Amino acid sequence: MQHAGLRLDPPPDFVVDQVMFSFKGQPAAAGDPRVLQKQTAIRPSLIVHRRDVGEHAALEVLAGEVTAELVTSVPGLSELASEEMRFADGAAGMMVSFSFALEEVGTARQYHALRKDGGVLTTLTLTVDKLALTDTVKERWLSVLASAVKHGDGGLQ
Amino acid sequence: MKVPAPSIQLTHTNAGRVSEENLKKIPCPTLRTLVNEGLLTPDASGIVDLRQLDKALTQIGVSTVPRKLLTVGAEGATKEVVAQQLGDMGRGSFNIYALTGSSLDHKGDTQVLRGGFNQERLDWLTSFATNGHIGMKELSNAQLEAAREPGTGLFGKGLGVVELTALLKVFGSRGPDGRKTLSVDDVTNLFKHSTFPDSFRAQLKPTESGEVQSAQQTGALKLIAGVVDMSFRQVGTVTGRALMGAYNAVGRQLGLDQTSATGLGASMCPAGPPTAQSKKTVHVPGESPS
Repeated sequence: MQHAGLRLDPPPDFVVDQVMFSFKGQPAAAGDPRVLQKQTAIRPSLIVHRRDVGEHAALEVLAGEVTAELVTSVPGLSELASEEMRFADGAAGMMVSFSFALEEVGTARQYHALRKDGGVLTTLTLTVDKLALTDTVKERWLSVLASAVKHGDGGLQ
Repeated sequence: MKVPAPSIQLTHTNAGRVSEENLKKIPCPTLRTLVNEGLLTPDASGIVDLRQLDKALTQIGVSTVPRKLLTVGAEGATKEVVAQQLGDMGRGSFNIYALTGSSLDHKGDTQVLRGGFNQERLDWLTSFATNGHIGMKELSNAQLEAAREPGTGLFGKGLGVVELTALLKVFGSRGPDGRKTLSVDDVTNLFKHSTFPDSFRAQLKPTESGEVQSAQQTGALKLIAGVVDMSFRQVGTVTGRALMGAYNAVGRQLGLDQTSATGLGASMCPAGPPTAQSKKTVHVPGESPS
């Protein structure tokens, strides 16, 4: 197999269990007023994670577990929201979002979008600058999440 | 009436005041130790003033932010029980004997204190030690295995991680390599005897009022860092990815053994995380989101 500049020959009886890759957006420009004021400028990032959860796990239950884990591990998270969403290929999904409370990342908002294809759960974790979230900008970011559609049979191999 | 001798070793500050039966009701090793060491003094029904909890946490070195999280959480976890017992007068209190079965009771913990005390589970926990010590790596391995217990959802996994991390961060001692660890004896003292580890007790210094206070302050960032470290080690967790995003956002490099700054929500049981909001309306790309 080959991926992201790496080629690997795993044993033939090995199967892909989960995959994760991470994207980072551009850091704030030097002239950004927040940088000049030495405030934290938020760099957007997107983490994509896919794993086999089995055919019987309902997406709503998985989203609930995601929410429960986030609220127990991110203290003071605020503006928590969970909602249904639809991906660009028409697949139903769930989205959990919140804002961080800590001062150094206090202006970041994070979205966790979930979709399930057969037994494979895909979670997209998008972290963006909350201060820049106009309706237009937010729509653009959500479109990025919705652009995650099934390719082939949607399996991990 | 003769009080049966408890099997849990009591210090002179608590000798005979809290029975073994009541100590066993406390599911959290830290809270149980605080009671046994006399820093928390529940009444006969288990009511503890939150100000005393706040003070006790200060004395063992937990500073402002996590202390607030813990006291708010304690109040929230047993609010109904306390209200039934004391009504409005119960505000500012929590019931330390009513935590088992509360909203924060969870599977996926070490099970050492499940139903009182379990030697077999303590032996299981200490079996993860390396050279007689347990640090973040060893606790992560133990937590991963504990989380495989049937019926453990992500909620339980998150709580267990924080619980173990808090013990390490507050009571651990720093080794030559700079990392905090608990010795097998330390873990036994905390879980089995509900007493402070010897090394922790050794650094307690008396205050002017004659009480004791930990010389080491465990602030929010340190405790938080440990939680993140353990969570991130469990690659592929929701928490790990959430915190990766947070670190990416502020331009920090997140190594596998480096930590970020969040996490203490449910540490040292009990803490009261905010509950998730109910589902909102459907969002469809291209339409105005709710």
